[in-house]
Amino acid sequence: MAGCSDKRFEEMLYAYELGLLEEDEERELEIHLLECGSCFEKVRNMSRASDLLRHSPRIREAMLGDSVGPEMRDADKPAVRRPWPKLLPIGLAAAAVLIFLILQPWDIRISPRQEAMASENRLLIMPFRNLADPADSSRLGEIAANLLITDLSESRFVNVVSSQRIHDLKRLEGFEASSPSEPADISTLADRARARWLLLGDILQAVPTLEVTIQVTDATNGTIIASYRLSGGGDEDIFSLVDRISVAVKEALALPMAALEEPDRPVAEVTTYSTEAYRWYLTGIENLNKLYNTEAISDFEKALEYDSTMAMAHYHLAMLKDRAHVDKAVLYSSGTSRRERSFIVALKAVAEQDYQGAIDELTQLTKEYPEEKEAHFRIGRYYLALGQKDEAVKHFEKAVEIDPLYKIVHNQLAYSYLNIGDYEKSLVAINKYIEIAPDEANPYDSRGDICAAAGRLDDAIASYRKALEVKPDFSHSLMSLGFMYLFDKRYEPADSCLKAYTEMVEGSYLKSAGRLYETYVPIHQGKFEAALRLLDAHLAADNRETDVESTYDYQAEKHCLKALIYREQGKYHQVLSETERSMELFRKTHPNDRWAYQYLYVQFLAEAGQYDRATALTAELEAYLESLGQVEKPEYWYADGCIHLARGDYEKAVTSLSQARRNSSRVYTLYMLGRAYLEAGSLDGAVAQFQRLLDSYNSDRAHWSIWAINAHYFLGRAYEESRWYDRAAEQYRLFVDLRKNADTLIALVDDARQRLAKIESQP
Amino acid sequence: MEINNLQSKARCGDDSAEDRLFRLLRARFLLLAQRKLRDRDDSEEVVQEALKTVFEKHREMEFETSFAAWAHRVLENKILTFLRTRKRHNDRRENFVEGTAVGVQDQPDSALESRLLDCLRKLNRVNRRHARILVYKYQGFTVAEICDRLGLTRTNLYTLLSRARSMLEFCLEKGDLK
Repeated sequence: MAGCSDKRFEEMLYAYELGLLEEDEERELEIHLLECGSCFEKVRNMSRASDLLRHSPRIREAMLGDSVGPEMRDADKPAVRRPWPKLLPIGLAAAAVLIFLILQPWDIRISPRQEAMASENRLLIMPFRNLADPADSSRLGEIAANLLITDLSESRFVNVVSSQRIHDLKRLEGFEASSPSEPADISTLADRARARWLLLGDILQAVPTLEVTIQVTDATNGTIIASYRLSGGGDEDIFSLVDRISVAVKEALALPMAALEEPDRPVAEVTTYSTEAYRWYLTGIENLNKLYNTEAISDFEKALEYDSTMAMAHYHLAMLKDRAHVDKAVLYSSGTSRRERSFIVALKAVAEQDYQGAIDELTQLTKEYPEEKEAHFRIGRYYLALGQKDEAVKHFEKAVEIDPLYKIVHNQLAYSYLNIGDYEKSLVAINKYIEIAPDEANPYDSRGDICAAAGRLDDAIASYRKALEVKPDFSHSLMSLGFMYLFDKRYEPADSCLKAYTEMVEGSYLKSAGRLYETYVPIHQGKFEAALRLLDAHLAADNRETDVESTYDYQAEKHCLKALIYREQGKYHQVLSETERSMELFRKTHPNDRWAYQYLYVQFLAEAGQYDRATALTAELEAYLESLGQVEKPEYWYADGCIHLARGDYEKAVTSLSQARRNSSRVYTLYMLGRAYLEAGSLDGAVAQFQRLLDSYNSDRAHWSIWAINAHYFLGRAYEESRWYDRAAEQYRLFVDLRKNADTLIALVDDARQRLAKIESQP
Repeated sequence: MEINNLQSKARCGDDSAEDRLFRLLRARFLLLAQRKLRDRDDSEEVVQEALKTVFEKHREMEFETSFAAWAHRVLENKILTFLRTRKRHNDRRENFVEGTAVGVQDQPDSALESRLLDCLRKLNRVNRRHARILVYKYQGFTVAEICDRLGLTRTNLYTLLSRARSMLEFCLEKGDLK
């Protein structure tokens, strides 16, 4: 019988059989069971075993004994040690642990050398040296150290330096390629990590059984606290070994008694049961740290081939590739450490648009782990999503304070400074990024973005070209260079770049994006009929993609462009139907994101005279944005302002659109606010908005080029009414020039020509 | 999709397709009903009722989504009606709690039982907690009781249960744990 073609249902079978599914899921699966012979057979087979588990007295007796009374309840509680009498000497406790461990399959001999005071228990665990295989080809030394870090990090009483922090410190001290082996270098690392304790381990033998020695030292004076030699027994694996080392280390560190009473989950339960999966996971993390995302994705996918329940592999894949992994990460999150669980919870919150929830979760994490730089980075990103740029910058600055070489944050800081209008700081941050990574393309690409945003078109073109020189297949630079040529009215190279971009990128989603960008070229020239034909052809091409669903976002954008073109032609029936299509397509893939395009739809409804519907939708939009915890609500204010503008209530339009402008520098906000100011007779305000719009070059301006080009005309009007005729004439000329090849009669062009002629005829 | 195709053919007058459709449907209905009713006789009775309704109406129905979804709703309604109206079910359920009722299979499959026991012992050796969780779950302990006994949160329990069940199934199929 053929297997089931829908893996989602296959994965639900155990939960179904155990009665763990929600009612809706259960119904959906049962309908599938009626349809799918393969899944039906699996459930039927499972049900036979389940019936025996339920009703077989033999199994009941074997597994539970005759009684399930209170004595078993005690036995099943998490391993909790009896508190030692308070005055029991530490040495005696250590000896007891020695006996306990000797009795276990692992033969552990501990010889504590010195009692330690646990005032500051920060512990640095270095990768184990693999003496059996000095090249450590199986990465056993690294795996052992990482597992131990994870296991001990679960304790509230041991402050373990995280793997990420060790990686950062090694990089800061110039040990990027390999771990330091000289005592002086290790001591430097311990000092930088402010570690009180240092744990060094050697793998003496890997087969047939593992043999390991461990040494715990007081990093402040080099005194050895304890040393162990562990030899494996039976078929015990690295995970069991690490569990036993953890117990021994906790004892050796002379922690408070409460530390011994903490629940101590096996490390396999908070990572994976598969060494192979863990090995691929660590490789993925290593590639991730180098920003080699493609390689990291492949590594995490391989990890999942060995253990499909590895939550952190799902987490990283959700971040890097596909949000569908978020639910899997959540489902298996009990198999992660406290720190990792926080990131998963935050990601889930973000997937549900609950940015404040994500911030709260990670803020709590930074209180427990102050050096958690990634948490600060993520918090910053989430504040940006909430429009709170200043808060975002604080967290990015904190992240680079923890790790001055944190490349991605320098990059983020450069953009954040730019967003708050601090161009100088932005350049400093991006130059720092270039200094750290001169051989990478991304720093130059970012510099291109910053120069473009500052209106320095030539510098931007040079930066993007430099990025492409470093990495010819750096698609973002190719796309941006296309946009810059567009702004420079070099339409042929613009078209070539954007077509090359579409050709270069992989996957239906990006191909669809590329096709959208190609349509910017005729639109920028005012060739609206040609653009409409191209948009239709590209929409058809999107629908021919194998993964059609992934093209919906950019299909929505294409319909939005059609709406903008029809608006210029005064065809409001088509404007509204195209915008409705945009909303419909976008919501198919973002069911929780209900504001996208709605503010534009409101604007177009109002312009078409449908004020009641526009007002009702605006109220709905406001309630929705408030339910997401958004304080500033720029989309709401934009919609509200556009209704007032359409009604001719210009003062109110200026008030609302100014509110929107406080948190939005999008082309459409600047344009409509400029229009409102102009209508209200506030010429200074109008000039400021149109000038701001035309001062910078970015992808937003390329997308909204119809309005960006119209801005020249309205800026000309503002200047003319201010009696600043030479500037007005300059803007009219720019506008007429940009529209000289238009294939559609554009009313504003005729008016601009007349106004220009009038100004030029004046003495 | 097979039953949807069979239903389409049956609707056009293909008798052999209709025969096959109802044989498939009976087996699948029975599995779903037994899972909910935990009694073979009751399940047979409910499935018979559901099949009768499906047989009488499937040719004239306009299905909102699919035939399978509609057929499932028919079965679901029959089960609900049965649970509401028949006291007999409650009596039998109590018997199950007492452990005296006979399972779905009247004669236990001793080979399967031995394999199951062997796998549970293997599971117990590798991870005692996984084995305990499974046994507790199938012996009728509530989620709250198991969580209390093992000091687990509900989410942890669900994850461990799914993992344990998957390991057990693998062992039953391959003879050993992963």
